[in-house]
Amino acid sequence: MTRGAVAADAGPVRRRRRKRLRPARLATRAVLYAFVVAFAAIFVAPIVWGFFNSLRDLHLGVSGPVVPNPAHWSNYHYAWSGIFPFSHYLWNTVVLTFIATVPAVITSALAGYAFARMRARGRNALFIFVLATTFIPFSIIFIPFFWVVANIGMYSTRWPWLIWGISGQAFLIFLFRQFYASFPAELDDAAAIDGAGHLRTFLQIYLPNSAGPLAVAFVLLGTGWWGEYIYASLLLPDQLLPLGVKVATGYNDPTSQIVLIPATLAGALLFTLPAVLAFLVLQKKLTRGIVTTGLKG
Amino acid sequence: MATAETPRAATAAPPRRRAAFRRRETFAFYGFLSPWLLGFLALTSVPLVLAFAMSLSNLTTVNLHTNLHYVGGQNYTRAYHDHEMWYSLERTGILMVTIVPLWIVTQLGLAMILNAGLKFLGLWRTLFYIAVVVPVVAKAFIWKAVFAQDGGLMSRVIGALGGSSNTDWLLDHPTASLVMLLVWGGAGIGMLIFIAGLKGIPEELYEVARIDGASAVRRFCTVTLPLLTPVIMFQLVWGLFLAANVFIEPILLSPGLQQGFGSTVPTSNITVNIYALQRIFIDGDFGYGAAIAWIFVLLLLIVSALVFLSGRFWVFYGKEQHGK
Repeated sequence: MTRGAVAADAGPVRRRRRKRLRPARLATRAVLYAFVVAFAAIFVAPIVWGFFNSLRDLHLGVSGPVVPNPAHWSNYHYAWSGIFPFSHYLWNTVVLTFIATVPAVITSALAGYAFARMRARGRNALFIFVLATTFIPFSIIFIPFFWVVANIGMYSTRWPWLIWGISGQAFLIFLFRQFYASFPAELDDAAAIDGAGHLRTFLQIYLPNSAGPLAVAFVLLGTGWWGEYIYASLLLPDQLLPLGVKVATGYNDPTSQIVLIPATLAGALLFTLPAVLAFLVLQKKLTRGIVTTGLKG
Repeated sequence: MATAETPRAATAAPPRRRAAFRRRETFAFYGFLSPWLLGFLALTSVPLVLAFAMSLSNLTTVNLHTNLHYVGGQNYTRAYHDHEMWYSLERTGILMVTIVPLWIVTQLGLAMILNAGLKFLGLWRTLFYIAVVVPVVAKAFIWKAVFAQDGGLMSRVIGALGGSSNTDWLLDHPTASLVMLLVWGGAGIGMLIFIAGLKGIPEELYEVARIDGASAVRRFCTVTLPLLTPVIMFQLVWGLFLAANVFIEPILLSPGLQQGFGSTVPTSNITVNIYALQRIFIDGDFGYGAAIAWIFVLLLLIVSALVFLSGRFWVFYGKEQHGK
């Protein structure tokens, strides 16, 4: 934690202080770099290992040299079209992710704004209530939800995903509320003096300054739905399955029914790629768009 | 939406207009919340009541069968005497108290390292976070390759360090394997939130502390930590929820090659949620599954409420943060 404390203070002032780096500070810096490299290696190693093993002989396990030789790149072709049409299930995943994520982020930002910036009777009690709903295990909701869905003809359809989307996410409401609560009160006064109502204030002042939490919300929720397994596996027929479920069950050897591990890993990594790319595109937004910088300038 | 009225009346208005403003404000407030409120009614409150009704019945199929009747607290008494249910609760609790501290320490540690102004910041951040965006199915298969008995990465590393290179991790240490996967897969989210929290601490405070001659440890204890307590509370509350709801990872990480609900999850990895849903989707016993789920909800609500209420003793809210 000592190192971290040194770390925490070296934000914007670092540039000014660089000339005065003493040997002790240099040593701290070296230790920090050692830490960051070690942690990065630990975090990436499983993925790299998964990638290596996706290149092994289709019918073998994970034994053999660390880097497979020869590398069976054909596993990726096999994962794409060898057993089932990958692109069909990819499209299913895109549709489900979109209808469950985009409305949820909008709903949650609206609610977060309401809790942070609007005064109404019962607001605080309701906010605690929203937080409490976060602590309801999915199983107790899902048991009757499954039963209702099955009895009103929504079983085997995508409707539940859209409904989940529109109703937002308590943890995102919390995120937006915490973020909006830190905005200065003068901002609301200025907007009110300009004659802006809440919807306009939200859309023109708060939302454009929310790049950070919006990116967090999209990355968290979007990648969550992208890889969602349990709802899809229990509610959807094969035709509508997302890759999350299909990849887990789809790569069995047609004759022996044994799971083809390298093909499964290849399919799983192909399936992972879009989520990683989306994150890489949005992650720049995570660091920007913090309200204080806008107000200071 | 009828929310775009001017709140100009708020500034120096006579009492009657202020009351009218307040009414409109309340109306707008619930307008902003309406999508969530409707969703809550349809997706949470109705199912909760239904689940309770189910738990008092002998419902055993999706269809309302003819001999469906009220059985009172029978499912709850059965749960009380069900050792496997208690064991699954115990395992869930152990997961919660193991993973949440590991998460918070890892997340805060990574965030502070990343806030230290190192070079290639984006690269490090990406490498730490990348595991989070890996879908759970891919996570499970990647870690199955890591934990494989014959030639898995874990066995190779431990073998190279002089230990046993022939351990079947998924079979012999199922909970340790699960914890590793969960810490690895969940650290990135909290790290980002901690980074945001660290950036929110005004640099002036550190300047002042430094001028006062405060050491790095002291600055951490008197500036960083108090100002981070709201974030820590968030991480604690959210982490407990996530850990309590660990569900799919143990199933996908089960040692066999079978997938889905049919897989043989090691008993020490059967969380209470898994146990409840197994009663439904394997035994077809909706009533009993719903009763177990309700027991767990109540226990979890108590734990969460205690954690949340403890905040008044240790969470520091700055003046502006109430957003008046």
